[in-house]
Amino acid sequence: MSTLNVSNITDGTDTVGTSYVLNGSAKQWCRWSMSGTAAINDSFNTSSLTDVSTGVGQLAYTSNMSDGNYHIATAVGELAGGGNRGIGIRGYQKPPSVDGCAYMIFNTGWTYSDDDLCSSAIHGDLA
Amino acid sequence: MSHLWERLLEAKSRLEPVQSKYRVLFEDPATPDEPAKVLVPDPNWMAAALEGDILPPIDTYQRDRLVPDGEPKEHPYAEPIGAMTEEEAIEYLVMKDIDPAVWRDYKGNRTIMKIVPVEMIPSDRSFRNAWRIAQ
Repeated sequence: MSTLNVSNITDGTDTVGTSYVLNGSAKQWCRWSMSGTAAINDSFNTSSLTDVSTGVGQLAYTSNMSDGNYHIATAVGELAGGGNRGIGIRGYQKPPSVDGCAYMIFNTGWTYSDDDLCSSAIHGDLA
Repeated sequence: MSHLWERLLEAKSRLEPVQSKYRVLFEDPATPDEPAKVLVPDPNWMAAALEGDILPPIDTYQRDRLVPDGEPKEHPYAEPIGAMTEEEAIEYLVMKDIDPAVWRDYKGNRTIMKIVPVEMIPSDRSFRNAWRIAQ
């Protein structure tokens, strides 16, 4: 196996640091729990989680996005259970913005739910 | 000067996460019927704050709030600040992630924000939507 050791990649016109490529295109991600005392398990480019209310969490970014038109991928569930869960964006709390976004978690009865496996990642342009 | 995002990448590869012993409990005066909120510092962010030379000055974020979306922002390329204590880092986070209406502009006599040890936050969430700050 060969290894390229370069700090930048260029097509002759544009140059990009290899750290952008090596670390993937997600600009921010977070895995958190709303069960018990809310906590962040691991993350990147996240400065805080705000436990807003039952089933509602709001993430803030350290390095802001250029605008709110970015892609969000989410997942939610239980670490030791089989109940179906859903997660969505709580736009009236905090829509996708340059500095963060609010999420709501609910069960199959459409009731807000505090689950221990919540995750999100965003893709888009940094400020 | 490298971009803040690149500095965060480098920091995550090098620093152990730090789970803060503090939480920030606050109420939003604009929505008095909502329960108290709890701000949880991110452990990787806290590690960067304690390490120093990674995060930008807090005033760059405050000025960037006034910059329209899509326009260049100041904080990504601002000269990083030095190491903070955990208490200083919490104050920085309050100013960064909580609306100024809570920590700067509120003139009422009700206590709407407290920095508390994590042990003071209930782990029983049965009545989560009734949480208020004790006066």
